[in-house]
Formats: sequence, structure tokens, C-alpha cells
Amino acid sequence: MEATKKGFDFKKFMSDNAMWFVLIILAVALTIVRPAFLSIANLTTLFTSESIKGIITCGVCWTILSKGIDLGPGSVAALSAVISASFVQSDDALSRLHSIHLPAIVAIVLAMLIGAVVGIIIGWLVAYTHIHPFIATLGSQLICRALAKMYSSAPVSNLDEGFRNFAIYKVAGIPMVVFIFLLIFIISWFMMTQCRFGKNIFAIGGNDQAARVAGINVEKNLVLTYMWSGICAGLAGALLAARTDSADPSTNGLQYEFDAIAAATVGGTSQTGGVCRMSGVMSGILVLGVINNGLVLLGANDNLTQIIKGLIIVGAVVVDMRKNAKKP
Amino acid sequence: MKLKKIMAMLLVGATCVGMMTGCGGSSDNGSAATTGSGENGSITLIMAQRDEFLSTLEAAATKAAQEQGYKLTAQDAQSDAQKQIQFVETAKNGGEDAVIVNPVDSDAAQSVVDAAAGMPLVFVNRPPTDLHVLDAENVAFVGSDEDTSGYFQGEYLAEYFQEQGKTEIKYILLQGILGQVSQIKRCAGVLQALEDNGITATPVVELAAEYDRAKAIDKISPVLTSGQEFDCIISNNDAMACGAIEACESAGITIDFPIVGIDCTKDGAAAVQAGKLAMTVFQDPEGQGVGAVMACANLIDGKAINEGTEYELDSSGESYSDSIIWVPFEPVTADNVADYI
Repeated sequence: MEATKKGFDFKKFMSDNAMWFVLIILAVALTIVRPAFLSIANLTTLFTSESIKGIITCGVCWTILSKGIDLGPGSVAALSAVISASFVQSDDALSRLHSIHLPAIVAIVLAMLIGAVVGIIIGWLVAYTHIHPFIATLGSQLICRALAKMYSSAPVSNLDEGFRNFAIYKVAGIPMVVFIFLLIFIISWFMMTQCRFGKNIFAIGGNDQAARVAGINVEKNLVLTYMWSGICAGLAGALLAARTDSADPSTNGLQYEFDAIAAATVGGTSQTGGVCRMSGVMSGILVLGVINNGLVLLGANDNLTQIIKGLIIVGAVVVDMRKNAKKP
Repeated sequence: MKLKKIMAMLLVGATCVGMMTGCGGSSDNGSAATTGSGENGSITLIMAQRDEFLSTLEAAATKAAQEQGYKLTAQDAQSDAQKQIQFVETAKNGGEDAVIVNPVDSDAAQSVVDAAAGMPLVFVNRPPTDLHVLDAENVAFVGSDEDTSGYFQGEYLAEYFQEQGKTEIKYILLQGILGQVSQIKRCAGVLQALEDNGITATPVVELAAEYDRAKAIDKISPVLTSGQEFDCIISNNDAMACGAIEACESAGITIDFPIVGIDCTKDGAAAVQAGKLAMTVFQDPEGQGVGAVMACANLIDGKAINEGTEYELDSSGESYSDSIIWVPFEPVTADNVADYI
């Protein structure tokens, strides 16, 4: 939990923000080797590329904080992507799934609703049947992917300009999807630090028995946690479709949940529950983003990218375990 | 505790019902859909997975079987080679007349042949790595030669650059899933064709975007915005090529260089028509689906496998040549794209 604000603990500041330092070192090193890295254009690209996964991460970190996990977001994103996209296909699209047309904003809200419904079901399963979240969300991963493929076997493409603008419309040269990511991030941060809901989840993740004794409605809060993760995934799906002009049921969001879990973990969200800082999560998202971006600029082999990502994730957890083990 | 048990039972029940309605509600898309009258016999079709291309192939095979009077049951092995072999054994034990297998693992074709144990077996779309597997009795292959798809891309690019008088080019390569046969052969084919036509090609960067449009955008954007020079973008499929186009447009780069894809999906064909995608290569899913069913019917009747089709047998003169039908790839450019829409 947040430290008390007495004096300035340099050691704690360093260890809490270790990933930001790693990020700065990576960025400096990359800029020296490839000056193009620090160009405005490339940084915009970096943020845009990580935005959709970032939105998913903003949801997933809550489930990890509650001592759970969510393996569903990638598939939920695919499901919400194909369904919302099918309602905003242009009139001249080559293959239209159906002729019902909805305004762009309604399609986005629909995508979030789909995510919310899946999240509520999963949250309910986790809270009331006490099955492990790993299993419950593994189920949602398989089911949502299959539902997406049943809904449409081919990519749903040729989407309305109005819908696409939610992701690609540029304000000051920066695509809309980045602003939406920042908005979701701020909402997530606000809920975590300023709302009772956030404090409840910290308590549940730390020790659910103690939380219950303290009068927290554990079940209700868990349902809300998975619902939030679902909403983020649903929104991410719609934006994925809007950004690419195509919702592909078989490849959309594939393994995005692992990138999100990795980002949250690298950002210091503890798998043992009860530890998460949104600033850390942002550093995790950016570190992985810089690696993705930087290794492409360096022309590195893709397999190497995966190896480096793997090492960083495992390394971050080792550091995290050591840090938390020292606590009384 | 009792309440919990009841809840658990209810949940299991609800899930089962959900699954059943799921299957029933989608006769053409469910995991084991059965169609056709079956007056001539029954065939099991075992797909490796169901993406856009393979779903089209499956639909064509289903329709062809119906027309030929066969009952066709389609299964999805979900990219699991083990499950696929199990489906073959189940079909054998269940008294099916033949199986069509879209192999998950081309290296494991022999174990599929063993599982079929003499029952007529047709591999479709992905060829066995060792074609001698087809020497066995009642085994055939229908599909397209992946060596040629990339080669068509290379020939197109070679001609394009020769007209410009260029012999040295730099390319950005968008690869599919690393290590898959189609990825390896498509990459090798395009580079081979460039080399054969006297073009020295060096990579700017080779990216793996797993055949996914969004991943292609994410991977290629840094290269585009960092201003590295390149002459063309080569993609292992259309989805990634469309991603590259999307990324160029978003980065404000005019596409005055060729981008080439493979598959000729609806989006790919539309991009060719719009002049954004220079060329793509049509792989004929319907031809492969229909060809597989025809080969199956011919095996059951003991005829030459290509009888009643417009396709030729393999011409290499090997021991397995009579067991292979090649459904040709076709290069698609702005000149002939209208035929494919």
C-alpha cells in the first residue's frame, strides 16, 4: 500500500521507481545507437502501438491486484471487435455481415458492454464459486475466441470513417487512441488511489479474510474488478478494429493478455496480490513498448525480441519477490 | 456447503446447455457440422484450424460433398496434431468411407497415414513434408505449391525494378508465424525469384507479424517513421500487407513503392483495385476444397484422383506423382483483379 508521507526515503523511492530508471537507460542507449528513436514521429508511433495493449493492462492490473488474473482480455477484445465492427461497416463494404447500422459511439459503448457482461460473469464465478481466476478466465478466453469466430469466420472490414476516427483521428499529430488510453489510465489511477473501491481491492488482494472482517463486501468488489477488466478489453477491441479498419476473429488480440500481464508485472504489480501502483504499470507498458520499438529500429531478429522480453519479465518478478520478502 | 454444491451443479449444467445450443445454432460453423444426404457414403473432414482462408476451403468442400452425394462431417483439430490423429482414428472406427485431413503438422503426416490404416485419405492445403508418405495405398494430396506463391511476388518485383533500371533493392519483409512451412517457403520463394532475375535484394529489416494486421502496423510503423530508405514491402499475406498500407497512410507516407501480398483475400483484392497493393497471389481455397472432395470420391471408386476435375496431376515423374493434384496459384495485379472480386 501507499507509504506514509514522512520524510523522503531515497532507497524506497529508487526501488519503487526502478522501472522508470530502466526505461530512461534504455531510451538513452537507444538514442545513442539510433538517434531516430527520440524523434517526435517515432515516440508518437511508440505510444500509438502500445495504447491498445495499455488499455487492456489498465484492466488486467486490477485483477492481479485482487490476487487474481485475467487471461480473457485478448479474446474478449476479438469478440467485441467483430461485433462492434459489424454494426459500423460502410454501405459499400464488399461483404456485410448484416445491414443494421449503428452510430459509431453506440458501437463503442456496445463493445464495452460486451466486455462488461463477460467480466460480470467471470467475476461472479470467481467470487461465489471460488474457482481459481486462472481457470475461470481461461474458460472465458476459449469461449470468447470461439464466439468471435462463430459470429464471423472472415475479417469484418471496411468500417465507417466516424468509427475509425475514435482511433486514428489526429489531434496535434497524435492519434485519438493515445488520448483514450491516457483517459482510461487516469480513470484507473483515480479509482485506485482516490476511491473506496480501490482501497477495498488493495485490502482484498492483501488478505481477503481480513478485508471481510473489516466489513468489505469481497464478492461485490471482485465482480466489479473483473467487470472493469472486461470493459477495458471490450474498449480495446473496438479501438483495435477502428485502428486497423478490420476486425479479424482469429488473430485480433491474440496473446494481448500476456503482454498486458507482463507489462503490469514488470511495472511492479505483485502476483501475490495487494501491491500495484499505476505509475509502475505505466513504466511497465513503456519499457515493453521501448523494447518492441527499439529492437525493430535496430533491425533485430524477432526471436531475440521475445527472449529479451522474457528475461525482463522474469527479472522483474525476481526483483519484486526480493523486495516484498524484506517486508515484515 | 450444500448451496455451493447445488450452484456448482447448476453452473456445469448451464455450461453444457450453452455448448449444445452453440453447436446447434450454427450448422456451418460448429465444431462437428454434418451435411449431405450420404447416399454415396460418408466422409470426415478434419481441419487444422478455422481462419478465413481455411473456412472458405471448408465451405467449398462441404458444398461439393453435398453435390456428389456424400455425407460430410467437419471437425476442427484446433492446431493440435494429437487431436487430429484422434479424429482420424474415430473416423476409422466409426466406419467412415474416407477422411480429408488438413494437417496441423506437415512433419507428422506419416502418423496420420498410419491412423487411417488403408482407409482412403486425402491431405488438403498443406503438403506432407516428405511427399513419399503419399506412396502408400489410398493416400493423396490436393493443394497448392507454396514454393510458387512467393516466387510470383519475386517475379513481379523483378519486372517492376528492371523497368526502372534498378538491380539493387532494399526491402522490408513482413513474415508470418516464424518456422511455419508457409512462412519459410514464401520468404525463400520471393528472394529466390529476385535472385534468379538478377536483382540483388538486401533487407532493411525482417519483421515477424504473425499474419496479423494489427501486429504488422505496430511492427512496421517504427521503421517507416524513422525514415529508413527502402524500395518495397514484401508481405507473407494480405492481412499484413493491408496493415503496412494502413501504417503508411497513418505516417503520411505516399505509397509510390510496391507492396506485395499473398492470398487475395477480399480486403487484399480491394486494396489492389484501389491501387494501394501492387499485387497479390491468389490461392484457390474453393478449388482446393472441391478438389479434395473429388479426389476422395475417386479414391473410394478406385479411379484416377483428378477425374472429373480441371486440375492436372503432379508432373515431376516421382513415385508419388499420381497421388498429387496441384491447384495452381495465380498472380493478381490491377490488370486482372476484377476477376477475383
